Amino acid sequence: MILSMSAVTKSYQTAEGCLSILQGIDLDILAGETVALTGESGSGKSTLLHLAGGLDIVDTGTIVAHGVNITRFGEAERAEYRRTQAGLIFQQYNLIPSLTVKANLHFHAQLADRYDASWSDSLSAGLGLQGLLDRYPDQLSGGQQQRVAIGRTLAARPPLVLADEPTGNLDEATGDAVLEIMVSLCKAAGSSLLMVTHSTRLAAKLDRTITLKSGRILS
Amino acid sequence: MIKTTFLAVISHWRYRPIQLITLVTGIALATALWSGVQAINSEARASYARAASVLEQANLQQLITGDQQGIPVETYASLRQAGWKVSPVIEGTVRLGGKRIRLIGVDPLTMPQSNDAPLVKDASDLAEFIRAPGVILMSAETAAQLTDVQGLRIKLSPSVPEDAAFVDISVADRLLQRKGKVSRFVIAPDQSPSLPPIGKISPDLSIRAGGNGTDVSSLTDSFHLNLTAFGFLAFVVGLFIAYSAIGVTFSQRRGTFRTLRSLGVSLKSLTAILILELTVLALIAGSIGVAIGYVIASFLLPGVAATLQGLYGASVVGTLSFRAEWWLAGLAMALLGTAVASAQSIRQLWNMPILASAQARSLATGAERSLRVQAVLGLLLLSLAVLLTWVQGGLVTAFGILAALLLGAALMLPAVLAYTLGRAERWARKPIPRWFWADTRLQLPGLSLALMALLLALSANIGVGTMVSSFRTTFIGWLDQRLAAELYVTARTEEEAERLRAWLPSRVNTVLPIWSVDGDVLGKPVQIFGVADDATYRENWPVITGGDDVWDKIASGKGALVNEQMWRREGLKVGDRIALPGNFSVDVVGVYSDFGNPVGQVLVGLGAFGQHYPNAAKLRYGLRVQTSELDRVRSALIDDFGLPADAIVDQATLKRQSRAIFDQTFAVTGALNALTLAVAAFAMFSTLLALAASRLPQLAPLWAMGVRRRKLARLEVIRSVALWAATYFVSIPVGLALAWVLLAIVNVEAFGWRLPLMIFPIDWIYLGLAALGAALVSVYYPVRLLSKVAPAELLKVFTNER
Repeated sequence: MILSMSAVTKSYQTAEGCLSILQGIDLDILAGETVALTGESGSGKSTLLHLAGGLDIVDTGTIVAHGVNITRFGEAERAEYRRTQAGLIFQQYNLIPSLTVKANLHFHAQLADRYDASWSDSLSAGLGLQGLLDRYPDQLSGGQQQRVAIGRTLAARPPLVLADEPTGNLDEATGDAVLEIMVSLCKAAGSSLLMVTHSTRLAAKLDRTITLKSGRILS
Repeated sequence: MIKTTFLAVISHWRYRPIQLITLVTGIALATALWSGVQAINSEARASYARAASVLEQANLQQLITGDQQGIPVETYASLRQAGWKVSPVIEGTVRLGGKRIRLIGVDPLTMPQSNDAPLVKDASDLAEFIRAPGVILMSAETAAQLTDVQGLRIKLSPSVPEDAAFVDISVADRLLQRKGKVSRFVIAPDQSPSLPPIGKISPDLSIRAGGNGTDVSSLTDSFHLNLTAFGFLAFVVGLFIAYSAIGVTFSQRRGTFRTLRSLGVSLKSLTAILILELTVLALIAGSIGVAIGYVIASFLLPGVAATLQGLYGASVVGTLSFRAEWWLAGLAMALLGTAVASAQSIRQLWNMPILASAQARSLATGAERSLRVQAVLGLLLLSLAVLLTWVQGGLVTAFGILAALLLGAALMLPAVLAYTLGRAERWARKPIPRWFWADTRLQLPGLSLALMALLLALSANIGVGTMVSSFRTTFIGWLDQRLAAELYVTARTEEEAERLRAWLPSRVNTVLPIWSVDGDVLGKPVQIFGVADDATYRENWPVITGGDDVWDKIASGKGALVNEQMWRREGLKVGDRIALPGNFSVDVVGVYSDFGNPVGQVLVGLGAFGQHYPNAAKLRYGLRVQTSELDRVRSALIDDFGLPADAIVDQATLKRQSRAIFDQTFAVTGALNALTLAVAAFAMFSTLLALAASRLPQLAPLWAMGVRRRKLARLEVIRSVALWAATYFVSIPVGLALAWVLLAIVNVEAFGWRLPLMIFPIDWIYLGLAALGAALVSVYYPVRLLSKVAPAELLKVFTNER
């Protein structure tokens, strides 16, 4: 088991009062499994992803990753977890604008002390980035930037890849192509994938789909 | 529509109150230091004009002579007989109760009524003024310092400047021992139309036009130019804050501007509304700035007054009066400054497409282009500075060199930093250091103005500090040379001086007369001193040019030493012959340094001096005595001879007083330096605060990849300190170049003396520590905000929904 969530709840304080986002989530993801997380806007998909990635902390419940209960982690341990265990891919790419494509690709792997030149080279070849390595992110198209973001995460070979609508900003054809590459490279890296998406068409391309509604898992 | 748009535009400030405060503070600080300096300048100039009007009747025409001996009283009779309505004046410096004051003797019966001399109001005043023992009219401040007024009755008048006094002409004649020789005549404005020319009555006389600038005001021009330059520097530094704040607010409101335009607001209307907004802000900030400037000027004016007194002997009233013209000028500068600071943002607004969105890197690419342009411009300005140094030519050129040097260096700074950061990025092997240098380079365009402001402030501090310290060290060495005698005594009368001359030789090693007269040489007022042929001068006098036999030539009466300022001003060379008053011509045989003296000085042999100026006052003497004998000689002078204690000054006291005057003189410079640095620190603080808001999206991905907030905050501190440190190191050579220009060009042009450049690394360390402290203060709040940012805020960067 790469990730196990049990009875996880999460709420946020808003101007209108306490807003309950997740209400008792139980979820298991196996090693190498690819899982789509779907649901309406506001159903809690991104919050679940952030909790799984150690970006946020649960109100109640436990999250066990690689057999370790990460809900007990302090800030330093959560940072370590994000560096080495979970790789995050965002809809807005969130590349580092001051670094070249090449430096961005190597960045997370070097942080995690897992930099492997041949794996990075094969990733950039697989992602079709070889001619773009010396460019800066703002010199790339949206699809190219998202491929760099995927490469950056996979270069670190995290056991768990968490992707938050990675194709949300891309057109259908580009989105399909990016997803194909992401899934195949996750498999090659031996990483599990939990991907938030609105698209049932894209969700169907993964091993399993989980749907959230009002903070609860429907299926 | 206009009102709705205006309200939408200004609604930004409700969400960004700190930015509003920053912008207003920037404009206010720029205006404050500028208008503060202008207030001081206008007050000082008004003081000179008042003093000249009162003391010299400068608004009226005068008859003057080049003869140091004065104008014979017979000439007065001839002028009156010829129909000229003139009033005689006898003036000079007199020592009253241990204090030297300027004494002006006037004839109240003939003095034109329109003049500003505050003499008599009615017949009883007149009778009292001219009747024995006579009245001495002076300010309360001067009166408080006098212990002896030779039996005259003191009458106070607030309009008489400090260290000056009016008496009846007969009293002045007696006290100054002029024996009927008149100093000048004031010409009444209402003269008969058919008067014989002055040249026919007395060929030695010439007419000096009324309303001319006074000697003091022209002498102090350089000082005021200096102050103005400092005020302008602070104004530029303040403008950087405004420029930076305006740039940030415009970039943050891009979305609003696009929305407004897409909703049908024309570019012209939007621009007009933004200009209106900026004008209102400039007027509010300008008013605050002028008020702060008034407070700054009030604090600085006593120091400036002391400086002007110390450097030029110019008297300035130490209190500030409110003047509408500098209030208006301050507001005009605030408007002008805001216009300059906002020009680029307005231009960008005009070129901004409605739909495009700016990204950090594309903005940086644009900024890289402007970095290159700036660097080229900076290089051109530095070349211009070198060129101007080569050609030289007056004080304005000297300040041109300073401006080109500072602006050129400031413009080149971002390019130099960008290059250095690029190299550092290439050398970095690990991801965080590589990101750190690359990200710092990306931040550079946003920080460059604040860094340029910092460079200007630090360079000014190093440059002016080096100049002052070099001056101080040279001055103290020079004092040791000049004040070689152990004791200095001043007799109260010529009779007492004669007794002293007879009494002293058996009790001290050497008696060195300090006798002088004032006169015109080469058309300028100078002091002429007679010096004894003594080893004291041969061994100690600070001669900077002259052969080995300088003192032999002086002793023979054929040679003269001139001070450096006269030598430079008149372009004299060793061997030139100069005509001194009293038909006395001598060869210039050498030059000596003479700091702090605004007028020219000539040293001749004592024998020749006595021969040509038999009537010169012979009251002052330097005494060489063994240090162990000092107290005994002093006691004997007081107890046995009967000299008052305040007529004796020892060398140590004189040096202490001179150093105190020196330090007071540069206290204003120190205050302006500190203020400029404080403004630069505020510029950095406001910039970092503005940038902090846009830092989250840049830092959040790193946090998501496992870099802790604390580490990110620490890196932000290191970044700021690194940039401050880099700017500080660049400021050292720039500051030294500035010091060289000040010492070798500005001082020579302004004061007539050149000083050696000395290096004071300890001062740099203190400044570096002060800069580091300011860096930490400026970065503390923005970084604290960052380190305390809640994970929820960081998550917003990634979240489109919850």
